[in-house]
Amino acid sequence: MKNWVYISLICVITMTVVLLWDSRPELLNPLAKVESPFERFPYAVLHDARTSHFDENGQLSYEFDAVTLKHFRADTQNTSDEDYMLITAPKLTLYGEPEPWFVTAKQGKVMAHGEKLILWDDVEVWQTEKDAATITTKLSTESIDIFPHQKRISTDAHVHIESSNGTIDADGLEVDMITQRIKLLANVRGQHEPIQ
Amino acid sequence: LQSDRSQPITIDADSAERDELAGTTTYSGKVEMAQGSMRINADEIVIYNTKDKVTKIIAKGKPAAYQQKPSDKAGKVVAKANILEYRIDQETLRLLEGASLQQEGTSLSGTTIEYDVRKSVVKADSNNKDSGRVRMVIPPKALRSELPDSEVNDPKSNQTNPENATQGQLDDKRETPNMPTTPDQSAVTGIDNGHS
Repeated sequence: MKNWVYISLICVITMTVVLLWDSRPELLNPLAKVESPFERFPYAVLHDARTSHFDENGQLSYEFDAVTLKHFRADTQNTSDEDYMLITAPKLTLYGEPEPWFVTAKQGKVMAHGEKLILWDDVEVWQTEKDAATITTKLSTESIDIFPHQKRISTDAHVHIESSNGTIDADGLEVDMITQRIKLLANVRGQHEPIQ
Repeated sequence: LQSDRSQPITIDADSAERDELAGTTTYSGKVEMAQGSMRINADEIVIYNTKDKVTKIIAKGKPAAYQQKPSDKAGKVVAKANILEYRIDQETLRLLEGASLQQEGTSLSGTTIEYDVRKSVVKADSNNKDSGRVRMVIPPKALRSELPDSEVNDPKSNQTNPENATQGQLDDKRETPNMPTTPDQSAVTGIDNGHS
């Protein structure tokens, strides 16, 4: 009789191991953080990529080059609003009046189907004269949000602005590229060169 | 000081807005501006620049305050008004709305005051409707230091009667070298710039 007990115990243990062997990890350790598709792997990776983005009227809104562009999908089968792209060494050109704005950074993220970009790490934004060589305004900061179709730039970080008539430092800024207005939000310190 | 005009202008404020198209930078909130010995404190300061230099500064406050040392030997000139317009190229300061200007006890007030910083000449006007006429007060010390010794003990000429000053018709004997008489709605006087 005793032997039967041992044999059935061994059978139960073997079946349990076999069943659990193929099951999903969450069953074994419900507390463990399950990696979404985002963390696990990019859906696609591009190298030395150049992308052109158009607005609803078909006008070229902005272009950017990136050394690498990693496209992540929330659902590997379909696109969704949560999809995003991680970009390294982005160089952005935002087209607008009278002259385009140029942006560079070390890192960046493109979200909401290109409606919003976040750039960080040595961010520089500048605008030039018509000759595209003489810089009229140059802005440097550590991180920035860009809404290209709305032609808007904003940040809460410290910014340093250099222009032909002086420099301005402040915490936080909003740039409206259509009206060409730069709002500096707090702790502003300006330095202007007078007439000699 | 003579060297003020070639010094950089520094400005501290709570916030600011740069308008690239209009070529203005508007500083708002506890604005403090400095250029050498010149200081302006106001609620708002607008910097106008052409190309790369500052041409005009308009300060607004309740009141806005300006101060500057005409020279090492001269006393500080302090001016107040709701609106200060400082033209850097012409080195003129216009005080509008509740204007007053003082230097070492001598004071001048009226509706508007124009102070030529380079020539150290002040011109005051009053529109006589609301704020009364031009009023100038010259303390005995200032008068006594100007007049020859023989006049010093003459009781009649001892002190300027403010009433006369507001009419701008000063007693000939007490005429100080840089204070010609003028019609009663305005007065022109000189500021001690340490050279006269």
